[in-house]
Amino acid sequence: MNRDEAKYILRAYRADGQDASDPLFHEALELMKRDPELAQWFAQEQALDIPIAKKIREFPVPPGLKSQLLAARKVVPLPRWWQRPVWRAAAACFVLLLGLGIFLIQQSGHRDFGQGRTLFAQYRDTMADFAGNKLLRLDHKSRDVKEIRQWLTQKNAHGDLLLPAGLDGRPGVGCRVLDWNGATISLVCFELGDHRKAHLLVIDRATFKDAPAELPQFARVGNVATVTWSRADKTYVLACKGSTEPELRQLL
Amino acid sequence: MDEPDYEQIVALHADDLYRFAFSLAGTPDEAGELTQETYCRLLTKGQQLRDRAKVKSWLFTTLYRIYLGWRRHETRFPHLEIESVAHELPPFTPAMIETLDGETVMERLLEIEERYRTPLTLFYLQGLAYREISDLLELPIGTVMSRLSRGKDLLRQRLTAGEEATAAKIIPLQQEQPRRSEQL
Repeated sequence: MNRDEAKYILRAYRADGQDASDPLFHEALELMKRDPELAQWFAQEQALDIPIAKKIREFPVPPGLKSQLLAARKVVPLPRWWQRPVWRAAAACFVLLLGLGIFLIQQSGHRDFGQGRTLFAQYRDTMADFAGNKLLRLDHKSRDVKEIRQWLTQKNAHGDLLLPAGLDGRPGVGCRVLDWNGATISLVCFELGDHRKAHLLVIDRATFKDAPAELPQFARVGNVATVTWSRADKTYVLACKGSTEPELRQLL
Repeated sequence: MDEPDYEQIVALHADDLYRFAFSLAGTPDEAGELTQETYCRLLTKGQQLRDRAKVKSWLFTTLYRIYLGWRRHETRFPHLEIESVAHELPPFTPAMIETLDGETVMERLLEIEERYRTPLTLFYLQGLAYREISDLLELPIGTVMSRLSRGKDLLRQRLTAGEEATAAKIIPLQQEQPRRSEQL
């Protein structure tokens, strides 16, 4: 590869370094280490690409766009299986059988093939990230935890959840009922002060064969600190964005 | 698709999808419609998407297909041919881009021919690698690379030309008209 070829290839290299491990760029990047002129050209190229990418990503998006997209979920009629053509139904059967097979294998090994994580860990990571970073609305808002419990009971969710001592007596923010592969999740949000919130996620213990034991287990999911435990027939995840393990311990 | 999934996908990708849609359509209304339609397809056909890791690529591809479909049936997006930059321009520098805002850069991007603009927008949004852009646009990898290279040159030319035009419109406040005697 000569300098011109390397330049041509490196023009498709994203400025944030996501392509660093791509073999196509490897040779060009190696050549750059030995060729100061190429390195200087690449530095200039990046010095232009980085601010241009930044400016394009700053292009304003209408403030109501996300709310409209979320509202679409309420009005878009979801397709019913009997409305689909026969071949799709056949494909669905195939997928169902395939899924069943994978599920049975997973159940026997308690492991997810793709990422080597336990099924419960997948649930914890997904919900911690959702509660900590993606939660946009609550189904029911109230500061009164007793009222939140009543509302959850009315919705056939987990109104009888057992609060850890550190959360008992703290004001609520509200709650929401979610679904995890057909299992109901009750999400209860608590006010911690200083605009900080804690999210308690409750699900039936039987949902996971590898549900945590009664002893609390701490884990960090990105910027969200979590602690998990099971008690009686329920499994709990307490997630708190920007918190630390000692802070979470005070909520137990 | 369960609710947390959908909300997460909206939170993660809606902004960049809208920007990509704007770079194709050129108006906020059309960009909003394209984004809405893409997410509607996700709701109605998202169950076909078995590999959640590919959701971003699926969304961008679907939006692009919707756009092509609209353009095929209607003349919704008239393309304005822009005369090429004939004269020699000074080199574009990082300092010049710092003076511009996102809207100006998008305006200049919209002046570029669509065949260069589309891969270039996907490249600068940084969500997709050149291979994914190649799959999305159904173009060979070599073509994507050549369009990215040419597209970058064109965008820099547009940005420089825009800067020059802006500078030419600025008349210094202190400047006085030359007096007749001075002209003589």
